Amino acid sequence: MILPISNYSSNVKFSSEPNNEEKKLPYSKDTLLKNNLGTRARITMDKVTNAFTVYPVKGLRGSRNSNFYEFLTMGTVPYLIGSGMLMAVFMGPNGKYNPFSSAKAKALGKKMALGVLFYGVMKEIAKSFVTKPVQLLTGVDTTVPYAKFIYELPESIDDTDITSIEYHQAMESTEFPRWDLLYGDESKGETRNFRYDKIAKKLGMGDKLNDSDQEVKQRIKEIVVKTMTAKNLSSYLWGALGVCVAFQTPWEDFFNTKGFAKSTKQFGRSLWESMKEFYNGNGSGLRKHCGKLLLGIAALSSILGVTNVMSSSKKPSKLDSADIIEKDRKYVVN
Amino acid sequence: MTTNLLSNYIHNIPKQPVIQNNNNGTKHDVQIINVKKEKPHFDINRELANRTFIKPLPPKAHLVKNRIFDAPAIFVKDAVYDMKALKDGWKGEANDHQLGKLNDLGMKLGGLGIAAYLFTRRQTPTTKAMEFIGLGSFFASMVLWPKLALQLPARLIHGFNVMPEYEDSYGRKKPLYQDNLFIPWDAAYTDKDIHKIGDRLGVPKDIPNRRDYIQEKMRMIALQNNTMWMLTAGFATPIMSALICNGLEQPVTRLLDKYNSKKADRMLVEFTDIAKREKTNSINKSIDSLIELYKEKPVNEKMIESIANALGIQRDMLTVNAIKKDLKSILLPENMTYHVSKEFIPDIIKNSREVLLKKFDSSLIDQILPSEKQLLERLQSDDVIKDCSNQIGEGSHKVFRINKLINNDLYKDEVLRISRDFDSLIRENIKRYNESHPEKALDADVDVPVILKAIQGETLESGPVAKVLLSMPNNKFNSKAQSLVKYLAEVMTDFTAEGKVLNKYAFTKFGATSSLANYWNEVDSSMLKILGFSDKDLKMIKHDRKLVEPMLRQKIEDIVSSKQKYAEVLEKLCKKLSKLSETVKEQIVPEEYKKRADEVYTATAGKLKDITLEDGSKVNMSALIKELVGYDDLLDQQKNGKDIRAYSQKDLQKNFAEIRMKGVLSSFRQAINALDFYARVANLKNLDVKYLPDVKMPREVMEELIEAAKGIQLDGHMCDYETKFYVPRQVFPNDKDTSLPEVKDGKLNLNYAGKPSDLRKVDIPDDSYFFHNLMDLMYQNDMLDETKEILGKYNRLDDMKQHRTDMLTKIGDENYFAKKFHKLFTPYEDKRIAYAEDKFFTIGKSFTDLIFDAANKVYNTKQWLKMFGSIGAALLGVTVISQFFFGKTSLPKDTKKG
Repeated sequence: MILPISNYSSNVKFSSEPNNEEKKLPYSKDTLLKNNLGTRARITMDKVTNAFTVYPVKGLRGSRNSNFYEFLTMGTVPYLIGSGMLMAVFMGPNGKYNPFSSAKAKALGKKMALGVLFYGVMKEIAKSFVTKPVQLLTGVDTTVPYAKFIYELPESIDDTDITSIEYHQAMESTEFPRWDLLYGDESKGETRNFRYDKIAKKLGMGDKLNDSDQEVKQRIKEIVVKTMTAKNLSSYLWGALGVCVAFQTPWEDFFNTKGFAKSTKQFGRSLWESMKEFYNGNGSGLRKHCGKLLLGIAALSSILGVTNVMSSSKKPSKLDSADIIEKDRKYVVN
Repeated sequence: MTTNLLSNYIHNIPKQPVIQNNNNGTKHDVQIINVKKEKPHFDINRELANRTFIKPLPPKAHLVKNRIFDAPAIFVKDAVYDMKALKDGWKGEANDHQLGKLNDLGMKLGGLGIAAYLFTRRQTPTTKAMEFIGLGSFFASMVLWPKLALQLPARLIHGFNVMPEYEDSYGRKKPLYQDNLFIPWDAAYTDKDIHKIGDRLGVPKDIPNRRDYIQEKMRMIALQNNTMWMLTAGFATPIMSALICNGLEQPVTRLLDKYNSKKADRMLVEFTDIAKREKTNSINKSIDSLIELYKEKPVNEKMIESIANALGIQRDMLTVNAIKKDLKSILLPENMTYHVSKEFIPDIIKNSREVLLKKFDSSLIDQILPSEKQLLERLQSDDVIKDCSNQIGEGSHKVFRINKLINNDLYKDEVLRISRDFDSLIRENIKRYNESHPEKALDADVDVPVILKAIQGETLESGPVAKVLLSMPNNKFNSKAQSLVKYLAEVMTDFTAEGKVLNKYAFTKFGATSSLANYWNEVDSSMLKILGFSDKDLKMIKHDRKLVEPMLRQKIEDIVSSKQKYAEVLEKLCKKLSKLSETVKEQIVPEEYKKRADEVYTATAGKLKDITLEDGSKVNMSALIKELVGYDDLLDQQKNGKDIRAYSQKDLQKNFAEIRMKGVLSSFRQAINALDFYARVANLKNLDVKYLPDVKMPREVMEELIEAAKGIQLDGHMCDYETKFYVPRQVFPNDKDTSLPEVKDGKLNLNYAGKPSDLRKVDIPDDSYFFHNLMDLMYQNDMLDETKEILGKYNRLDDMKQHRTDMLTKIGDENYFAKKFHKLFTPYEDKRIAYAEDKFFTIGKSFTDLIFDAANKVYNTKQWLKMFGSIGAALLGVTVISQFFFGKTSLPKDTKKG
C-alpha cells in the first residue's frame, strides 16, 4: 500500500514537542484470533463502544471513511436504546400514577425488562446450539474472529491517523471467506494446511492429503451456509422462548424480594418455577400446551439445522457443477 | 476437485460462433460460442485473435420503484425471494444477501412466536388481537420512522431520495447508500439525473467536476441520514409502535365486537348444529372407564363421588353435588343390607392393628388384639347376638332381628352394633394382659379409653372394624346401576354441549368485552369533562379515593347553584345516558335466547324425570332437576301461588345478561339522582320528611339528614345501605329550633353541623326512623320539575322513576334491624325482598368510585401521552431540523493548470 506523504511529514512538524501520541494499534495486519470468551467479550466491548462514540461522529460528519462495517455495527445502538425504551414505554411515567396503577405498571414493566434481557441472552446462547455441535462434529469453526487492519483515506492534509482495526469473522461472508487467514504460519513452525488437515480428517476425507485446503474449501463453504441458515432462524425462536419465560407469574416473587443475597437466591428459584410454568402451562388445549409447542419448535429448528449440516457433509467430494461454465447460458459480470 | 474457469473454457474451444438475439429482438454483439468436442491443443494465437469471444452483458441493475401500487407486487416478489433463500440456505448454496434475508425472516418468526404465545395467554378477543397488532406495529414503525422522519424531509429539503433501494444484476435488493465506500451511481442515476439533483442542491453550474462534487454531496447527506436513522430508531420505534397500538385499540375493539356479535347471532340460529359440534366424548369416556373399574363391586360413597364428578365435569360444583345426592339416594338407599362373611376376619384384625400401631408398641398390640380364631368363635357364638340385642339400636331396627352373623345380610345399624361388640373382645384381652403383666398394666382411665376410641373411630362408620364390615353392601354396581349411569352420561353430554353454546352467546354479547363494556369505557371518561374536572383535579385525585368526595361535592354544589348550569350539565348527562340506554337496547336479550335456555333446561329436566331402569322400576334425579329448573313440579307449584320462585340454574342462565346491563345503567341513574337531590337542596324543594307524629322537624335533625344524604348520594356503597347508614348523629338534638334550613350557593347554611357540639355525635344503630327518612329524602320525594323535564326530553323519565322505586323497595327493606318492634309498617313493608345480587346491581357503582376510576384512567393516559408524546415530538423535531445541517461541503478549488 502506498501511504500518503503526510504520514511521513508528521515527524518534521514545527511543534514544541515531538508528537509521541501516535495511536498504538494492537494489530499491524489482518490477524486470526482465538475464538474464546475473552476475545469475544473484548470484541463486543470494542464494537459497542465504537458504535456509540466514534462511528456516529464519523457518520454525522459525513466522513468518507464511514463504511458498511460501521453501519452494521451501529445497528447495536437502536437495539440497546430500543430495549430500554420498550421497558420505559410499558412502565410509563411510573412515579406519577396512583399507587395501584403504578404497582401494576411496574410489574409489567419489570417483566418486560426481563423479557428484553432474556431475549438478548437466549438469542446469543442459542447461536451456539448450532455452531458448537457443528464445530464438534465437523471441525469447522464458523464464528472464528479476526482483526482486520485497515487503511483509511486521509480526511485532510494533516490527517496522519489513517489506520484502524475492525473485527470480523473469517467466515462471515460465504462468497468471500478469508481462506488465507486459515493457513498456518510456517515461520512459527505451523504446517501450512494444518487447519484444513484437521477438518478433512474430521469430515472423514482422510489423513495426509496433498491439498487438503483445495479438498475441503467447498465443503466448509457448504457447512458455513447451512450453519448460518439454521443459526439465523433458530436463534430468534429461542429468543422468543426467553421472552415467554420472563412473562410467567413466579417472577413477581423475585421482583418483590429485597436484598442482594436473597434476590440472587430467589432469581434461581423464580427462573426454575417460571420454566416449569411455561412448560406445563395452564388451562386446556392450545393454551396449556403452547409452551411445549414453542420449546419443541425452537429445539427442532436447532436439531434440524445441525442434522442438515451433517447430512450432506458426509457426502463424498465431487466436482461442483457451479465451477463449470455451462455453454448454453449467458454470463454476466457485474 | 475444483476447476479453473479459464482452463475449463480453454479446453472447450468454440467451433462456430452463434449470434444470439437479445430479448428486444435486436442483434447483440455478445457471441456465445459452442464447442462440441474438446480440442487436443490450445491455439493461443487463435484465442487472442478472437477478442470478442467473451464480454460482459450490460448490467441490469436498477432502482426499485417505491410506488404504492407496486407494493403488492414487491411484497410477493420479496416473499418468493425469501423462500428461495430458505431453500438455498437449506441446501448450503445461499449467498451473503440471502443469508441476510434469512436473518430478517428469523426475526419475524421469533416475533410471531412471542405474539402467538401471548395470544394464548390473553383472555379477551381485543387483547388477543392486540398481541399481533403490537408485533405488526413494531415492524411497521421500524419501516415507517426512517420514511417519515428522514426520507421525506430529506427529499423535500435536498431534492432526492436518501434511502432508495436498487436491485443488482442478480436480483438482490439493497439500499443504494448502505456502503458509503461503494455506491453504484450508474445503476441509479443518469448523468442528467445527477445534474438535476445538483441544481436542486444549489451546486453552481460552472464548477469543475460538477458530477463528482454532487455525488460527494449526495453521499454525505445519505450517510448522515443513515447515521441519524441508527441513532433515533431506538427511541422512535417503541414510542411509535405504542402510539399506533393506542390509536388502533378502539377501532379494533369495535370491529371485533361487531364480528363477534354477528357470530353470536349465528349461534342461536344454528343452535342445534353448533351444539352438536361442541359435543365431546369426554363424559362418556370417563364413565366407561369408571364402569370398567367398579363393575359388580359394592357401591360406596367414594364410587358415587367419582361418578358424579365425571358426570358434572364441565359444569359447576352445585351440579356435581346434586348428582351425588341423587345417586346416593338411588344406589345407596337407607334400607340396604350388608353381607358379612368369614373372609372379613383377617382384614378386621389387620385394620385394627394398623390404627393401634400409630399409638402403641406392636408387642402390646399382639397381646390385646384378638386372634382370627378368637374373633371367629366370638362372631359365631350366641353371646354376640345377645350382646348386640342389648345394645340400643339406631334407626328403625330397634330389635336385633337375626340369629347369625357370619354369611348373613345385615342392616347398617346391625353392622355397627357388631363393630361395637369388638370392644368386648379387646376388653377381655386387656384384662388378661393386665393380669399377666401387672408391672406394665394398662391404666383403665388413660390407656384403655385411648385404645377403644381408636378401634371405634371418630364416627361409628369410620372405625377400622366398621369399615371392613360395611365394605360389602349387597347393592352392587350391577348392570342396572351401570345402565343408569350410562344414560346420565348421555344426558349430561348433550346438556353440557348446549349449555356451552348458551354461555358463549351470553358472554360474547354481554360479557366483559361486549360493546356494552366498551361504551361504558367511553362514557365514564366523558363524565369528568361534563362535571368540570380539570387536569389539576385529576392529578390530585390519584393520591387517594377519599379526596374525590369533597371535590365532587364542591363541583356539584357549584353546578346546582345556577339553574342554567344545572340544566346544561343534566342535559349532557342525560344525552350520554340515553345513548347508553340505546346501546343497551340494541343488545337487549333476545327472546330467542331465553326460549333456547328454557328449552335446553326443561328438556334436560324432562330426561332426568322418571328414568326407567332395567328392572322396570322408575327413578327421578330430583335434586339435579331442582338445581337446574327449580322445583321439578314448578308449574304445578306456580299454579297455586304465582310468587313461588326457586333459585335455579335456568334463571341464572336467562338473567345473566339483563342483570349485567342493569348494573351499568344503575350507576348512571344514581349519578343523575345525586344531581337532582343536590338541586332539590339548593332550591329547598321536595325535601319532605317527618320527625315524630305532631312534632315539627328540628332544624338540627334536618341538617343532619340532608348532610348525610348528600354524602350517601356520592359515596354510598352497598354496605352502607345494608348497615342502614352508620352516621354520627346527635343523641339529643335541639328540638326547640324548628326553623327551616337556609341555602346559599347550592350549599346548606349549617347552624349546627360543624359546630363544637359535633364532638358529642355517635352512631345510633337500629334507628329505623332515621333510615326511612334518609331513603325518603333521596328516593321518595319527587324529582325537580326541571329534572323531569330534561329526562322526559330524552325519554328517560320512566326508567328513572323505576330506578327510584327499586331503590326504595329493594334497598329500603327492613331486614337488617335487630329489634322486632322496628319492623314497622312502611310503604315498602309488603314488597318482596331483593336478592343480594339484585341489590348490588340496583345500586351500581358509587358516584365517587366512578369518578375515581375514570379520573385515574384519563390521568394515566394523559401522563403517558405527555411523556412519550413529547419525547416523540422532540425526537421528530431534532431529526427533521438536522436535515438543514447535512451535506455542508466546501466547493472544490480550481486546480491550477501546470
